Amino acid sequence: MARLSVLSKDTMISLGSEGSFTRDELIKSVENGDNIGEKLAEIQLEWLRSFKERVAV
Amino acid sequence: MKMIVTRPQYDITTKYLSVWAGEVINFAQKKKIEVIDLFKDKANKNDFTGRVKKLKPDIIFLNGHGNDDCVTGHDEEKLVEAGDNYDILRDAITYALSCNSGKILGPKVAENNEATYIGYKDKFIFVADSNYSTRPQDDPRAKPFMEASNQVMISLLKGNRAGEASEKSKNKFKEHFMKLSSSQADPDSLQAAQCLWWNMRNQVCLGNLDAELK
Repeated sequence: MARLSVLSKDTMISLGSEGSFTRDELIKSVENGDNIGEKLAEIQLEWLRSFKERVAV
Repeated sequence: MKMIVTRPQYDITTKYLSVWAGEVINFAQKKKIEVIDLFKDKANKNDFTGRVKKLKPDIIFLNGHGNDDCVTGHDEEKLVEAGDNYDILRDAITYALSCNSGKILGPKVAENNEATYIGYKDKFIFVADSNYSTRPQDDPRAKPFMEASNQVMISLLKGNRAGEASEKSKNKFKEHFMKLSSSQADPDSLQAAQCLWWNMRNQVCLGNLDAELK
């Protein structure tokens, strides 16, 4: 959440047919724990796993 | 050689995809490839199915929304679906720039040994700048995503095999990922890097990996 709150106001993330979301909408989704919030968490987890992979490379 | 492109355009996401697909169309036309461009409401099931059956394209580039078992066209009309007309893709190399279709539709198409399906087994995600929504081609935040995706088509059109084209695209995602990851001080870059990594991890190349345009 803290990381999302420092995104630029103009940043938009397109999540396919779910729609495109502004920073404030993304923060709300994380707060509500809806599908979008869960997907953002999944993306971050996958990114954290990338560290392990990059270290191995 | 013939290429069919579907470019629905009815929301921000499809606008970005359709505009950036224009780069692939220009590249193909320079290579004297016949391009059948199903733009906006032409990206419907009747037109798409009819053209594919009649023209037997060598390569198909689908842009639009999708889910596990289908890719949609204008206003989310299903163009091709696992339980329906998936076999129309059996004689071509298909790249679907859409969410999730690499999960069920792709493997279904790839059951035919000759077919190739490149797509994404989860959401295709991109970051954009709302100030550029009327001119997506100039959006610097969307550029790394669209460039890496277009690399699949550009590589195929250059004569690379399907497996190589997908690898080159993944390398492009990785290249942008590394560049943006190094800008630790910029939260927008870090967010974009995460989404690039996500797309790279979810791109799949199924079926005949040795297929190439001749």
